Amino acid sequence: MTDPEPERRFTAIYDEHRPQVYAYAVSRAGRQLADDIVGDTFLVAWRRLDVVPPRPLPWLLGVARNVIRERYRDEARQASLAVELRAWVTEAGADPADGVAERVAVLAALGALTEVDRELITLVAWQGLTPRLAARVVGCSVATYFVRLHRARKRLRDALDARLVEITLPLQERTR
Amino acid sequence: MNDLMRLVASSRPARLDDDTHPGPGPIMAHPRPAAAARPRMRRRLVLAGALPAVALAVAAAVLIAIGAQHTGAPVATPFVTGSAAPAKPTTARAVLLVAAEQSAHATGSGRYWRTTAEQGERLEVGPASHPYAILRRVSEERWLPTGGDAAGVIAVRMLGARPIGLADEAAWKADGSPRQWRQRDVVITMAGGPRGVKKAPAAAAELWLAGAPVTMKQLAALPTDPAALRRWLLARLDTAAEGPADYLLFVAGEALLTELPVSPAVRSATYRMLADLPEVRLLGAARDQLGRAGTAVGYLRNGSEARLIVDPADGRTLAQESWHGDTLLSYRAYESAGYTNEEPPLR
Repeated sequence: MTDPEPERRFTAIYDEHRPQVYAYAVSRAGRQLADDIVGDTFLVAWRRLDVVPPRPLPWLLGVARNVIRERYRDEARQASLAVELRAWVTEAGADPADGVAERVAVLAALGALTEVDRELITLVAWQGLTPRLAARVVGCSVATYFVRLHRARKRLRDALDARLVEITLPLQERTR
Repeated sequence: MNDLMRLVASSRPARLDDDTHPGPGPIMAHPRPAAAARPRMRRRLVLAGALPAVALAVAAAVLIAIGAQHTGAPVATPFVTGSAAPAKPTTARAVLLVAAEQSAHATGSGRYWRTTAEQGERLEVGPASHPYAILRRVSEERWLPTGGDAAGVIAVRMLGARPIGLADEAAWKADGSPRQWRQRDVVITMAGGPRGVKKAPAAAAELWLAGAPVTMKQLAALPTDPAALRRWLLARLDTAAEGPADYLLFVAGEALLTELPVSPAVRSATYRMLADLPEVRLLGAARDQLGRAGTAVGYLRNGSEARLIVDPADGRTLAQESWHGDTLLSYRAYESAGYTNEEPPLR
């Protein structure tokens, strides 16, 4: 008497949202830990399928956030994350596409932000969440999210300005 | 999205994409709780490591699942167990109302809000053919700054682990009487460990209430009228995402009664709010896992029961426990809570 319904629903949720949960896990804890975090997150979803809402992404990211928060020792996660943030910059720098310097600068500036700021920004910019849904992930009101995001963006802008100056100066010198 | 956000979006690293595309099969191989509730040994308990995550997702005021410790340092408000309890209440409502009357929690102020608690968790270990259950205990001491820029401190000591019942003990012996167990990346040892102290990262030092971080200032301004408190909590809860409102109110109430620095008036209002939840039932006289006597009330949901053990004599909540049928899944027994001006331990 196996009921295929939970399997069907879970598979649909998993197929649709695993890439996003994975991306979030990488951005919070690095690739080294991402698979485990994603596994734990979907395990919770599987076991608690009855409470997974119809639009599951904010819920899933909220669970992933808690998994990260309590399953991984901070030192281990910071080490993995540091490797990750460096890899973003080096891989962006190795990309032959246009605008490399700008991407490198953006990723380096993001890497220099606090975790909290980086999360606020990337939930919107990379996960494609509206601030309303992102607020649900981090557990604050929408108004608070807007305020925090505004401040985070300002700090990113400052960090980016500093980086772009660093990166563009040598280039200008070369053309001279 | 403004230009800056567009720039960030277009700089998304390729490393955020997984190139392996694993399927959902291995996850669905784990039993779901509904299907697994029948046999006495529930494999789902293997996943106990994931349980606190759920608790957080639901609403509780839980921090990282690490604990603290009784240092022998002076304790602000020791929880003394019930002396002469008044006339025996016969409903959960009556118990909670009595507790509301008696409720006198640490008042005052200090640089830190400190709580000490022991937590225990049932874990399933051993070979897949003959699994058995152990209880892992952790002692935890938390120092949360009441203001300013001080960092929170969390001190944890592993108190060790043991097979729970006679059958577990027999299965453990059959397993070769191991003195440690591996659960994914965590090694659980039978012997305890030394105390570890760490500065709580900003996120972990956040207090949580009703599914969201809450500030000391907000806690100080909480309504002291039960109906208003209920409205305040409901306004924060996303019940569509997280479950039925009454259950979430119960969970939020647990947080207010056990971990959060709130005034006696708010604690009293919390008890009154819980007294009006129709699902809360009286379980009668009970001892917590530290052996302290109290009265237990419970909230049953999805086959699992959240219990509060209250000392009606002074209105303190002694412990929170999570049960499935007659199996204790986890507990937190609160030993002290109060403000202090002392310095937190450094190591």
